[in-house]
Amino acid sequence: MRRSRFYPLWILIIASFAASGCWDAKDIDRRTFVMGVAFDLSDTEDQLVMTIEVPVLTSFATQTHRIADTRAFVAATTGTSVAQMAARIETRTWREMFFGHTQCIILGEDLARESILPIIDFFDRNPRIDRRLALFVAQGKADEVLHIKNPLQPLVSVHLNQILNTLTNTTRVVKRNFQDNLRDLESNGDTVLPRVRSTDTELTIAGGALIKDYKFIAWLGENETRAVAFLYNRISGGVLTVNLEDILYTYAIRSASTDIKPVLKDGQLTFRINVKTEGEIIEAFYRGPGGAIEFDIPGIQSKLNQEITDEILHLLTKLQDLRTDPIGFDRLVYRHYPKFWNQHKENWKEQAWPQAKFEVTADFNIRRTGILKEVTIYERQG
Amino acid sequence: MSARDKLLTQEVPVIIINMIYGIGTITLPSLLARSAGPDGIIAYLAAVAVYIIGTVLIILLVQRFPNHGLADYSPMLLGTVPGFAVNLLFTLYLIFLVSAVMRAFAEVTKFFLLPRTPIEAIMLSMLFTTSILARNGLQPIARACQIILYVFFIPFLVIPLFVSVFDTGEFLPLFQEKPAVIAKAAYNSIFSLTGVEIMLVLGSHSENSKRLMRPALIGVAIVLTMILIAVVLAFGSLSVDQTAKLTDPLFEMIKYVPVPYSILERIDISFYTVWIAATYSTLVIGLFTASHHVAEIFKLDNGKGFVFPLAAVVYFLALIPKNENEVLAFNIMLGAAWLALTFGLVPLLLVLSKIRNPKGAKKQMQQPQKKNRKANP
Repeated sequence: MRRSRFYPLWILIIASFAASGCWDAKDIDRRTFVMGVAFDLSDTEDQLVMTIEVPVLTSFATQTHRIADTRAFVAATTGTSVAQMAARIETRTWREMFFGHTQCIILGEDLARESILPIIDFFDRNPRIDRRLALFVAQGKADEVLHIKNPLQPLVSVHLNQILNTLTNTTRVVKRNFQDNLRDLESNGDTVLPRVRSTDTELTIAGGALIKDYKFIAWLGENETRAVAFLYNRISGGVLTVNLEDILYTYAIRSASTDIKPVLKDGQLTFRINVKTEGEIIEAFYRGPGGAIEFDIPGIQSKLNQEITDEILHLLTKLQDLRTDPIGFDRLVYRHYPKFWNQHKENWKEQAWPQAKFEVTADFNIRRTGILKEVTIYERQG
Repeated sequence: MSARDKLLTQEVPVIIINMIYGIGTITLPSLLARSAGPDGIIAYLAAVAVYIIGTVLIILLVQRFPNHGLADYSPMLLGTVPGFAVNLLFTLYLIFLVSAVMRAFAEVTKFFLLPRTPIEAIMLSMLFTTSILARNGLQPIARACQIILYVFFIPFLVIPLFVSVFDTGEFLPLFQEKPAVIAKAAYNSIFSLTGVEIMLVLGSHSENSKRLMRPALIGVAIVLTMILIAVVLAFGSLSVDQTAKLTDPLFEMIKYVPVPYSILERIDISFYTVWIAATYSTLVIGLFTASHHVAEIFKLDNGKGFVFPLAAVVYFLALIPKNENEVLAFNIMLGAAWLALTFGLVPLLLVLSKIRNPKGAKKQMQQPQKKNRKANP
């Protein structure tokens, strides 16, 4: 075929159309990057308050900023649904709201007591959401968390997410993301969300909010939350302190795993829970007279085993009393005993779950005691 | 047949993988989880078994008539008019298949990537680019598919990242659904696997049609394994309940992967690229096969001239479904058409080729094609 001499011209014309952008071209300065979003109940007819935290991008772009410079913009509006409130904020900022980089969603305590389902639906449905974001319940008002002024942390949302994801010094929080929560909630409506508390300049993540049928029903203390973390198999570090003969031994967890197995015998459902951890003693804290003594490794291990076993049993009893199953024991029964599950699935939380028994064992293994082999105790001379 | 139109033996699996791997893979885990729960894996394996049998039947038929396509031997076995009707139906099937892929691609692209771009613009740009390659013949398509094939394996590099979020318990309990439910789930998933039937047209271009079985089965085995891995990852990481709820679970699954140190925070974007490449190759092969089949029906040298008209037909057909539910229903109908083609027409032609044994015709068929019959110029 003989090619036209205008062939390159046609290519140029077509390319000019193809390369000139599309309907969806959106400059970065025309988007509102919502880093964090908080929801509370409102006293107005609109029922809900949505507060968003948006980074002031120009302040991040310059290298000469001062601490006093505004790094985040916090805006709030009221409405009856999340989409409606997002649209209302858009009319004030003229920029399109973009949730693709959202790091955290914080739900106020009062709102969570009513139901968290309507709030999370918007985010679950949004294709641009990063499913690794974190869902929190605030003790008190959620918007207060986004209003704290910490000079070291310009963006509260990023700060919150980083705390949750780098928490290695404590096991007293459940480190799970939005997708993990959805997995629990869509299974039986129950889960445990991390609790966040704030002052004017600081925020703390510790403890948990127990969600039953998508409603917040009770706070879990920090030890209870640690038991939840063990049962979720989400312990990646942290410390535990036990008292043995008036010496406080601090054990740093280096690895941990939990195995839960349901056993059905003569109609009685029992869950065998085995916790295994490895770690080292990082401190022996002692006050009072004494001398240099050898580490009682079996004794410390036994005490650690006992403490975690008691914590887990205490938590499970509480969950049974509250008729809630955030750990997902029901899924284990369904997987291993589908016939039993089919007989009891209608009344699992109310009847079968409270009657379940538990056999909890813990196996703490102390690999090292730091670089010291003894507990050194100062003994007054003369 | 010129060297340009020959399909090398090693290119056969490449073409099959490129044809099958594409739009259907994205929605398949959801379809399986919704239809059969954890037994979705069993349903998929059942569909795979059916598909491999279908592949064997198709290749057996191709091997009966080396150097000739369906358009050549169907009138001979069925009679001129029924043969012509069958060829016409097969052309329609190919056009509808390409239309379904086109529409599904446009729907997902519009929803995830280009929400404001009119669906017509998405489809036209894709059809235009695919038509250009489809017009250039089989060998350029095979070469392009070889390059695209490497891209398909990129997503599998992130499999180690799934270890921390993968729950093997999600696959339990198995065999809880009734066989009828599992069979229906397998039936629903057939559309996601369609593609090997192109060998009825392209098989005759293989450099050694007599030995087509091995490369074809290798291609099918590779692509079905890739799809199985995708389904298993979706079930194990997202959970069966979540997978059932999501329309496009593979895209959501990628967003959930814990990426260390926030490297490639939006890793999902790279997956869209792979997926667009996969759909592109499916459309190119589909358009080429359809146009070439039409050319063979009318005893023309090549199907180059039919590519743009068929692309126009595909465009208008793809606009017909009003929403994604209609697209899904249409896809399931195409799965049924594939079953009718593979387990109805193909065995019929195989049996007829044995019974009627048109000796003269068979002899003629087994001779090399006329020199002036080309796939493309």
